[in-house]
Amino acid sequence: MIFTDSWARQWAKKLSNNEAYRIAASNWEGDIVLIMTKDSKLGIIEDLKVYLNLWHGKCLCGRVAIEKDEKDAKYVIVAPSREWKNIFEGSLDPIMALMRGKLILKKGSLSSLLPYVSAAKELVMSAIELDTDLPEEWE
Amino acid sequence: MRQNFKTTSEGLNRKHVMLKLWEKAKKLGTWNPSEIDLNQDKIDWKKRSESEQDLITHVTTLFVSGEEAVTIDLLPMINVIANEGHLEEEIYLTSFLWEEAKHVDFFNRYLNEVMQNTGDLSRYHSESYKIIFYKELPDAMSRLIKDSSPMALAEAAVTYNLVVEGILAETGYNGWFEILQQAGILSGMSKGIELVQRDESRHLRFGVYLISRLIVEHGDLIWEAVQKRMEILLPPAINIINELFDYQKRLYGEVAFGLKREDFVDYAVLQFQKRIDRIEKARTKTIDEILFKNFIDEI
Repeated sequence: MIFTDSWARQWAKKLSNNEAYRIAASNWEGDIVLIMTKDSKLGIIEDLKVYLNLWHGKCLCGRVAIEKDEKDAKYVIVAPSREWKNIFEGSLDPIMALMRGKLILKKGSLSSLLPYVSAAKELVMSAIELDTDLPEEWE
Repeated sequence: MRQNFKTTSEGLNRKHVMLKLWEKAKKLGTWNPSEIDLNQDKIDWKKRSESEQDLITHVTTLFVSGEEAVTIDLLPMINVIANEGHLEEEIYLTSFLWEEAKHVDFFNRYLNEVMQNTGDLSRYHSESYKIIFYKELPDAMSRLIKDSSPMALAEAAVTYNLVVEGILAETGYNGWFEILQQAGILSGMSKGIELVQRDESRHLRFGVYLISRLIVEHGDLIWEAVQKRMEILLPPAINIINELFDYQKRLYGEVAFGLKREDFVDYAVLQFQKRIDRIEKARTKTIDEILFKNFIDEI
């Protein structure tokens, strides 16, 4: 299941072994909190949040986010489950999703994210490779 | 051999949105760049600081070379439209190219008469600017000479109309116009940009119309291609804004006139969202709705 602590930790591990990501994000400095908004109809009773500490092509830490992370992180990205499902199934490009407002950049500068298109793709690719279950009802 | 003439068989359809746009072009697109008064601009220019003069030159360079590029590159698209027999579209496009040429005329006149520039300004063409204007735009448009497929036409329209005109030109003109208004300077430049913007808004409507028509006629393959093309072009397009700001900060420590990067990027993203949302709606429309029902009015 995505947005769990174990998923975030596995994702971080996968990212740190992703050579393409290491190259594409070699200049990247900044931690990110990703938030899946609650939807009681789909059984998501509270916002789910994960934290990734990304630094020069490595993921130093991945886990469920704590309150402080959201305040301190350079970027906070929010979306409903439907959009995250599209992202982690590979059918929605993460940068396009930000540009189209499907993912909301709650904190941080979009202009500073855009040069990292390849890094964003690799970030998502590493998550896709985890082969996580994505509930069908998140359509 | 020609088979028939539309005007002598069925006649022009005056309800066609392209003929409505043509009517607007005939009324609004006939301004003369040579008649814009630049006398106050010549006085204002001399009073500007080094960083302000550099920014004005930088911005004007991007505008004039962008307008030159779209003037040079449009013809293959007009040729495809003409060969396919879309006479109403072709009639509108005659004004389109004339207007682009006038934009080149205006900015070139400005460089010569106000800034009295005679040197090479290509130093202002940043890495991302070159990706779009040296490669992606001419490649997408010249491809139409050999490949007139709906896919090639859609990708050309995304590049030319949505990215170059819809994101870059519109964002640049809007932001620059606002700055000049707030600063109360360069009234001739402001007037020219106001008129250029009015022309460009019609060009953009043509682009949204054309892509919408192609989606309705050829289905989701075109919609997928539009999205893929945007994925490729959006990062360098937005990065042109970043590079302009980085250039100023590197040389002067701050950006002249208090320009804010986020204002430009936010505006570009907002404009992009409006257009792509409208184009996505075309997937559920009929061809009559695209051709005759003012589908492109609210963009």
